[in-house]
Amino acid sequence: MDKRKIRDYAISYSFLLPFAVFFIVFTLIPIGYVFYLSVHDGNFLQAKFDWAGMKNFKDVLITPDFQGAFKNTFIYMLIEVPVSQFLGIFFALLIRKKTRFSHACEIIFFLPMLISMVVASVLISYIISNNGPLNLLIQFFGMQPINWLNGKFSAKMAVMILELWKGGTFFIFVYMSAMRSLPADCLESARIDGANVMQEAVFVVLPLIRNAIILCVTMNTIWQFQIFESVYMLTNGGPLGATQTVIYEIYQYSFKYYRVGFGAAASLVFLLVILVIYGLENLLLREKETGKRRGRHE
Amino acid sequence: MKKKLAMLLCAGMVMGLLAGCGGGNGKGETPGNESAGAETGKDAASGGDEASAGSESEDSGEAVKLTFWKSPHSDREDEIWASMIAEFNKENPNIQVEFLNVAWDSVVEKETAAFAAGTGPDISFQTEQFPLYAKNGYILSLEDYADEAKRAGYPASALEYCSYDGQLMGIPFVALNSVMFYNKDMFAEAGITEVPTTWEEMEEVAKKLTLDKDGDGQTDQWGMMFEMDDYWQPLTYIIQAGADQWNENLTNIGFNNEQGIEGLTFFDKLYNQDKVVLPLEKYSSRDEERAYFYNGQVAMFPQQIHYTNIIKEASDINLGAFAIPAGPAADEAHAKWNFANIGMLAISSQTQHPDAAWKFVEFITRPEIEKTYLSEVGFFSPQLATNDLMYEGDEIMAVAAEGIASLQVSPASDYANAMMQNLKILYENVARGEKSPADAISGMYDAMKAISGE
Repeated sequence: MDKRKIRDYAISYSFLLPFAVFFIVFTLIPIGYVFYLSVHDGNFLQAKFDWAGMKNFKDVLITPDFQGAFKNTFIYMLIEVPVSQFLGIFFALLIRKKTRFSHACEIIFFLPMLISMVVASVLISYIISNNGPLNLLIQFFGMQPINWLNGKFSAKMAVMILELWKGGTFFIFVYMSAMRSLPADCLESARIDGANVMQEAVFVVLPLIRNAIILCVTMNTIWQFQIFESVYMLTNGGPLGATQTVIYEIYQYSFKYYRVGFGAAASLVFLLVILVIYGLENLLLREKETGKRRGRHE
Repeated sequence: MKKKLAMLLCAGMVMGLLAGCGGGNGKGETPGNESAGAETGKDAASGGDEASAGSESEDSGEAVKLTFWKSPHSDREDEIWASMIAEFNKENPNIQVEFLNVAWDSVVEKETAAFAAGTGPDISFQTEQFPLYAKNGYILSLEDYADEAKRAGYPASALEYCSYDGQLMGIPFVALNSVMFYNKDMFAEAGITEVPTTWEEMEEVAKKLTLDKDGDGQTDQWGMMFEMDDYWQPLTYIIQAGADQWNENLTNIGFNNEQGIEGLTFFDKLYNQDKVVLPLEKYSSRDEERAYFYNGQVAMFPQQIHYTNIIKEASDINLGAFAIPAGPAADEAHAKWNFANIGMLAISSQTQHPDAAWKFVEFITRPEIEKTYLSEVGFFSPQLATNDLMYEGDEIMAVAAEGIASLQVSPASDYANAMMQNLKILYENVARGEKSPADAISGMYDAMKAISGE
């Protein structure tokens, strides 16, 4: 390789350097450190960690708290992801045409994204409190008020309501953007062919925004695995651990109970689970893509 | 030329990034200050000769800045400390103290992170969690600072509580115990003239005070309530039955036994059999729960003594207090146990200015000074001389004062935080009828074992 080529490579790679340094310092080294911590026992106050081998991994798998947290996290994911995607598509369909009404809705939908989770949690906890507006409304219709944060299922619902309101509105914007960028001729053809609003939405719009749906479902799944602030702020994991999530448990064990190695091992086990789910999702999507291409060749 | 400029810019960005990631050495040393000879890190844990080295800047008249972290016991915490620091500055104009009010639910995480990063507070308020910091050398031993005259004001038990490995780690500052607050008017209305002194009497009184006042078939007045955010009050019954809070090594519960089950069964009976306790479904927050007591719908409320001021500020009920009724344990220490604690002022071993920090701690713990804070918040002092200066003629504080003189404090432990978190789950399991007292205790034992390994 001549000097000129080496210089060209050096110049090219130098542009990657800021990101590479950032990536190494804030991603690779911490991940490596988590691996190191997972096979050690101790806490951040100690000068030296003690070697623990695979003990932390074994503890993670047999600890009931962690199993409960896993179950809760899956419940959140299985309920929240479809509901938020359905609502996201529904509201996006309503406001996809630019009108004064749609502009007003955009502002309203955008507001929850602007406020912090702390503020959102305080607002929601007021709304669902025993004497809050939601219970007043329920009583107005002659029903018994619900103590949302006291029941095991209702507390989970409260967390999901907060997650839907705070995080779910993001998807409305993704779907709305995807719908607004659809080619007008497809929609016009559908209308000329006599499709009604429902048929147009189901048979034309949804297939055309498939990529946006895949993106949103994947992102939402990962976000749901990472639920923490809403649980920490709203329920503190209660009642009786009914709302605890894996990330919340990792936080508890690492920072409240000083079992940093356990927290690190739990993080790695959880990472593995997320990777498996992500891999399965990818596998399913790739098969569909391949099938589609094969269909085209046939 | 453009390429060279681009490379230069990239290099500059990388340097900037690295500089941003750099900083101190994690042990409290700051660039340019290494030669000051200040005490840093764990090496300074034992105090010693270097202790005076950090005072150079104080003696030379330069301003010294100290940080002081404390979790709040009052809504007016910042205001009270501002005035006390102003008082301190009259005597020590060169020592600036920056007070930081750290929320209770995050204080352990924040202090851990700060100590581990070498940026711990110079002075901090410590409670039952302090051995963890002391064991790892983050708290300065006060053996060379607290002289005989200073120590003489405190009972030996208070100094022992604040010691680790034979070294005094903090100056006792706050003493508290618990009492049963009650609504005198509700007692009078129910014809109760004597306050209960035993479990059985308390149960009877609570039954009399639990009523369906409007006759709709539903209870609308309850004999008592337990604040579910409070980790300690239901523990009273477990210990009053004869069990211990901790095992011998202070790593797991000491009540995984018959006495523990007996105590928790009494708590279960109050909730689920007698139904004299305000049920959980009636409230969704601490404020909603307290409102029942403030509005005269709950007659008795066991809590720490400093709640006197909180209750008085929030309501105008005819408030009284009596000693927590005694349990069936054979020995008096167990039978009359109620949650009591000592809070101390500790100095970080990472401080650059140990002498200045000591001046502050010494000043604040003088009887005439500490009474300002303690009487505002409603606490007692571990220093009996201070207590003589406060609460004269106060009927409620007199009830607590009797217990303060013979304060029994549970030992501090590394696992205090884990104990608190799991106590809450224990009570909830029983109060909700999810688990029997025996199963709940056994579950807590397993949970603590998973955390401590013992």
